[in-house]
Amino acid sequence: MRIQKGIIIVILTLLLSGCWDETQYKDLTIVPLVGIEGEEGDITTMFAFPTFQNGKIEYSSSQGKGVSTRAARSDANHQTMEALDMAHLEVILMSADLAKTDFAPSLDMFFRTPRNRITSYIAIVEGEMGTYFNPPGNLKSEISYYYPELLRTVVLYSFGANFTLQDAMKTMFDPGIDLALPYLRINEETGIPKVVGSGLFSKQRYTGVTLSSSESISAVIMADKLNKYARITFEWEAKNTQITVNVMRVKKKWTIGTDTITASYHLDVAVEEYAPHNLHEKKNREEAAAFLKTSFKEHFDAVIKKSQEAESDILGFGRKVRAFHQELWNKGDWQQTYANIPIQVEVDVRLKLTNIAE
Amino acid sequence: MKFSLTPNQFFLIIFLLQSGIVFITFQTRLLEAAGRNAWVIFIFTGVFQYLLLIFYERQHSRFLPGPFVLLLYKLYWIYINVLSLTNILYSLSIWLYPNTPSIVLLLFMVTVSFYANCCKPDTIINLPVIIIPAILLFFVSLLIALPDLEWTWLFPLDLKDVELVWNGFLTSQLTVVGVASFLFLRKRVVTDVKMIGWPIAIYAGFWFLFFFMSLLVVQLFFPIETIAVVPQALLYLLKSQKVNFVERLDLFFLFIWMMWSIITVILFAFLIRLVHAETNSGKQYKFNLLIHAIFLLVPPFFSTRDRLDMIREPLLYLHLFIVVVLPIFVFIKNRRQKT
Amino acid sequence: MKPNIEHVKKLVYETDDLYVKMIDWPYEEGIICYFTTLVDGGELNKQLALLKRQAEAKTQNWAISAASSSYPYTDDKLQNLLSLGETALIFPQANIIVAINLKKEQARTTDEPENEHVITGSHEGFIENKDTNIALIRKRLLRADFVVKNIYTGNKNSDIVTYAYIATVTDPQLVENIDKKLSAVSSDEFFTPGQLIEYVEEHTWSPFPQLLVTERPDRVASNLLEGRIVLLMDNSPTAVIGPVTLFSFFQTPDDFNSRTLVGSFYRLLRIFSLITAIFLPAFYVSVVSFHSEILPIEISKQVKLAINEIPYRPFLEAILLEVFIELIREASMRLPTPIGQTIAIVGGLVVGDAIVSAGLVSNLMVIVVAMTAISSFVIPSAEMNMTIRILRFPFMLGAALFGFFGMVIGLLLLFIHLLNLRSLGRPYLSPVIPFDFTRFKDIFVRLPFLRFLRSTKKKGVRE
Repeated sequence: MRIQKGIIIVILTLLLSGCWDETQYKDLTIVPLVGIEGEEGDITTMFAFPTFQNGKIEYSSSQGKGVSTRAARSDANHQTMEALDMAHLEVILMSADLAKTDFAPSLDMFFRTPRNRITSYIAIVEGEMGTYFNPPGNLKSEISYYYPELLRTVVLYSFGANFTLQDAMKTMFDPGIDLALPYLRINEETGIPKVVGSGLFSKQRYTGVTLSSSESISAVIMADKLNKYARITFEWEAKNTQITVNVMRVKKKWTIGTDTITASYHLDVAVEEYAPHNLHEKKNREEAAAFLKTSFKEHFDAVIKKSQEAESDILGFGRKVRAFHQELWNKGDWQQTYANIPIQVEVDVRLKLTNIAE
Repeated sequence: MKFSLTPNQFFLIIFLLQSGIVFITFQTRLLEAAGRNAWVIFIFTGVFQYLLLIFYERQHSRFLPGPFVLLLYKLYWIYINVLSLTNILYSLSIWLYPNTPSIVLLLFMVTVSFYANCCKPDTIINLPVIIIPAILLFFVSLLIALPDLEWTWLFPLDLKDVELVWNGFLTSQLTVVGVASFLFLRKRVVTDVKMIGWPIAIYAGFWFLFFFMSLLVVQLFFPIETIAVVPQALLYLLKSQKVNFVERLDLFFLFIWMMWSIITVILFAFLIRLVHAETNSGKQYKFNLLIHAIFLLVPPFFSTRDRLDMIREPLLYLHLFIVVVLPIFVFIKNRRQKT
Repeated sequence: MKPNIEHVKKLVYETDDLYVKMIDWPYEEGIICYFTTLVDGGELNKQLALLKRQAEAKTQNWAISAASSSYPYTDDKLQNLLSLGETALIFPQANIIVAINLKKEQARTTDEPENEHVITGSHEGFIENKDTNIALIRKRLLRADFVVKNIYTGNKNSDIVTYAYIATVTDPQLVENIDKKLSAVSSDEFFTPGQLIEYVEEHTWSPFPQLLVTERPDRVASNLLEGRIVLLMDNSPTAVIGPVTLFSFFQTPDDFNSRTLVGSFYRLLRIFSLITAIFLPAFYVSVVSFHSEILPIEISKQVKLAINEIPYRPFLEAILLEVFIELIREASMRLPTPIGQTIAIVGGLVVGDAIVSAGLVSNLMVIVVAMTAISSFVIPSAEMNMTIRILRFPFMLGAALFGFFGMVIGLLLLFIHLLNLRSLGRPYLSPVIPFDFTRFKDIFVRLPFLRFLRSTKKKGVRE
């Protein structure tokens, strides 16, 4: 009997004293979108989140300032109804100015707090963060829906790859590769935020150089990080027409010599739009393949050139160099070495499908 | 205590005793100590472990330790249990329960261990079976990470740095910690079983595969530069996996690991009782109560970062002494006495 | 003292349903007595005529026939025979009783038991008459090694427990064990199989049933063939089968009547339902009050919307609904079917809907609790499904206190408890622990029957 009484007392104490680490879901505000701007030591964070009242979802946002992201978040907490919870964070927007400084510590809070989600997307925006939270154009949707869906589309259509928080942190701290994040700008005509390409990073800072959107796709193809679609359109001036292809498969082979790198690619593509529709003839197909070969090479060369100018090894040649070519790696700082090493690109294109019914 | 083990049960118990405490943390520690060499060094450890097992098997009939040596083992196991409980508490308080007093969490874990240790030996030796699905699940979820692995991170190796290699080897000994139990449980295995040959090879192979795979996945998932900032790399790895039905795989594994560790604690407590019962008759219940009182009262004291390190560091050296030196000493002593 | 009519009346405390008269017999006068309520008078006349003829023929054992036997007279014996429903023919001179066993049976038909319906297969069920029940079993086991043993328990030696087994299949030690246990029963009267079970099982305080209860003769027969023992009591349609394992409670005769793949699917479904029935509410409670970070993004908003304005903690919500469902179940179970259905509809639909729109409970919680309730009813054994329903309360408590931590602790305790359990000395988790691969497969899938036979031949007895 004494034991039973003891057990009852223990359980009652537990029930009365409450549960120390209980965090009722109904008392939290789930934050899908965060924007960070400012500089180290003076950070402004903006949060957009749904609020739930009377069985309806409405959207709201709040803002905080502080010396660090954590401090800014606490500041915002004082201006929000319920506690902000980052466990369902989907997108982090970072201003380009902040990205140009040493911003890694500002993201550390998101990355290393066990409760936070680390598969959220991260992107850079140009200009004031406030305009992205209240875009001048009519979004026809809430921003906390808009950005996640926008960036999911970026992944699906291979405009960018590996830009979740987790991947970004990994890429940033690996000296053998550099980061490229989607770059957003407000479209001047419509006033709606738009992904215009990807911003290149060198080591842990944004360089200010951006790839255009077709270059971004090329970069994704070159890194062999394709998602479902990788569509790219070329202007075929000789024939006064356009050709759109979808890259289906990439085989890449990087040959690294002592002072030169050859990157050869074999692409399987499907033609998705081609107005003259004469591809059922072999001759035309060969012609198209030859055209695509040179066009791809131009695009790829442009990517290499831009990334070398920015000293940003976004394709990760450095990883291979570090593992197998120590003498090249040890020449000095890898980003410098990368900028100066000649890189040959070879492309071979195979027209696998012409997705146009004949 | 009367019980006998089938070879399967025997190896399962040994496997749990070896893996329970360390399998979620050792990768980070090994990578910190040995850098990219970790995977090569671990192959050495695998061979070492295999040779050790064969050595044990050959000599186990000579393993007749005196009361003092038994006392050493008992103290060592109590130390391991305290360490692993501290470890669980520390991980739990970091990941999920920062505000809950550790004594409360501990009370529940120790109660489970005490309850299990009040049962018949049959119950305890069958307990590891609950972990088998967890082992499979663990393997599968490591496979999810496969596309994200970066194979170039296997190289470059730097095996010339002897200090690095030696440190790595010492750290990798964490995975061999529970192996001394082989000597104590071996005589309980139903006789007429030939261990040398396939049984030990399969066991050592499985053990190696388990640890090596988890090590390799961690090494190829995180750049060596970030290892220092992700203390429980394996959990981080699972955290970054996207699966449809649930957002955070890592939490499930935290708890699977916790269950795993609690069962290990139960088994160690069982070993302590087993060794105790060999030399002392009567009052088993009180002894059981005593060791569980220790498990309940000591770990909260150590569950801060500094103190955890303080009791964690000696383990490596202590372990080599317990697993290699002490048995050899006992073997030699018994051989002399015989001749 | 010579027995006479007055004496006989006194022995049964002058009850009015006793028929006692002097009767003419070839050599001496006898006294005939029986309870009119228990004996069929017309049949008795035929039997008496037969015995009279035998007596006139002066054969040695004239009193012995298919339905009669003779004993030396004692008061106790007379009382005993009368109370068992036999007719006693007393011959005071010779001091013997001739007992004629012609019981008038009050029995219903062998209908299918209410709580163990099958879709295809036999629709016979046990009734309150033990002999009929044994006949139903024997009909299915036409073999000489089917053994039926009676044990007289209690001081009056009139309550009969019967155990039956197949001699060539069942472990003799098991039989001895059961025999010893039943013989040791000294209770004066027990009426229900529930009481019997408590005498036989080892762990009275465990929530888990350690013996299988059924009213289906085909189920009993197939279990007997697998080497188990069955206990029967008179006046109860319930047969008790042991030793069983946890997994026996999840199998029904339907499994073997359906197609292999279909049977396997439903067997897996039942094992899955075990998991949801125990853990689902606890899991939900721990997710919404501790670990909301594990909710997938896509569903998080809906969950939040559902629970945002519920005043109570999820634990209280869950308890409220669970208690509510238990009430509906308990209320509708003993009511006549039409009213029972009304209650179920009112309770389930009307109040369920009202409780959500009143904002006391979230609609997600209703889904969770309903799914749990349905899962628990999937389990074929009524006893096991009560156990499972009880078990989820401690898990919910653990979840409310510590989230997943509480659940894991509960799970470990449950597992240790299950490992401790024995059913008539056999491990409760048998084919899993200790592990036996051939039987292990059988838990999760229903193997083709032919294959099954072969493996039986190879491995000897399956338990």
